[in-house]
Amino acid sequence: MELSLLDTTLIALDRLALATIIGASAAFIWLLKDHHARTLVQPRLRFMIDGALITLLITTTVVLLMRSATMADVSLLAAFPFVEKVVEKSHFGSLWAGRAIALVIMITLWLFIRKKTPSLGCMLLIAGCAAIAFYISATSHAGDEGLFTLDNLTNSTHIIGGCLWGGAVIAYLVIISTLRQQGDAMHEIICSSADRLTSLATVALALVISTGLLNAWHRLETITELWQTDYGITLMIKLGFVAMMMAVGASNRFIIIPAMTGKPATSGRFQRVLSLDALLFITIICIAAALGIQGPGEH
Amino acid sequence: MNTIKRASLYSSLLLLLTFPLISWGHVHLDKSIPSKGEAVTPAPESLQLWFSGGVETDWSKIEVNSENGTRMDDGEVSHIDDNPKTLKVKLKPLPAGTYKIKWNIVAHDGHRIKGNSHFSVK
Repeated sequence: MELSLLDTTLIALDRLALATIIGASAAFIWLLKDHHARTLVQPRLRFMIDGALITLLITTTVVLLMRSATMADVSLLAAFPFVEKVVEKSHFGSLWAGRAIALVIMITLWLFIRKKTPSLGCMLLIAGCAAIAFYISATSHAGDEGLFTLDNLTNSTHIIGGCLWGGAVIAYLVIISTLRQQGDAMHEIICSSADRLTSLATVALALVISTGLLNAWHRLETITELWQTDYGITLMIKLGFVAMMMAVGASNRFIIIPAMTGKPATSGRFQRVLSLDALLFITIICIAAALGIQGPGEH
Repeated sequence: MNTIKRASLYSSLLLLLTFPLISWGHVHLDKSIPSKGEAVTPAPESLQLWFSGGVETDWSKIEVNSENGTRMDDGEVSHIDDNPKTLKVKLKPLPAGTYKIKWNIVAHDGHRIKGNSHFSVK
């Protein structure tokens, strides 16, 4: 039970770190076009990315140790001697190695170029996160038929889309709070970058829906479990949060952002709504992590 | 405003259909030969299990025991025709009686799944 709680926390942290890196990188590349605004925001986004990379490094290491304990059927402290065998002689271990290599390359490149060419650094981070999402997906059902299959590619894109959606919202919270500290002078930049945020979120949502439909096409036979098992009920709760996040996104796009033009005082309301959106995203990640541990009911 | 409401409703319904299916995480037993509670004749030469996802042979255990607790399998777990979603163990010659199956397997995602079943030989 304690191991399950640790596992859930670890997976939630792992996905949150992945989303933060993707979101902060995408925000730096696409949301801010003004040079002065970029200079102001850059140190905070870099700090966010650095923190998320360290988190990802820790979760990657601890996940291996935990899976080794599970696979060898021993306690966490007794798992060290089995780590090598897990990496060498298991499907999970070989995928973990791929993920670890991608992460090490990503961190090394980022450390060298993050100050000189941050935009290039952010693009490389997104590519690295896509590789990690690919390996995460491959350890699920999507990887059953092999690594380079349509199923795995679809599911990886689904994970990237979800991370882009939520991660961009979290990163934009840092951007808006930094720009609002500069007073009304930055309001026009806040409005234009908010417009770009909704466009980015729409693209991410389109990715999530299209790949989600393809996933459904492959696995529709399991849909009855939605209302027949505890797992399904937990899943429905998660869906409720997803629907709420969509509703908040729609209200931002169609009501709150159009009303912000020329009214600096309204940016505070936008920031509060975005905070709610970010909270919903974190809740969804926690529920998804719990679902991953719980699994569907026994057959 | 009506358009926004309608768009939100349709989008939410669409997500209800699509989001759940990304998270079917854990592997489960789909079927077995002999199946749960089945009375078979003649005695099977092996126990075969089909799972919903890939499973590891090196880390999985399957035990078939007679009513008095005698181990009736050879302990060597392998895939059926190299299919990663399957496992099998060879059985010793089984006299008539009831046999208990215990499986303790590791899936490709590194999670352990346990279960039990039984069958009988007429």
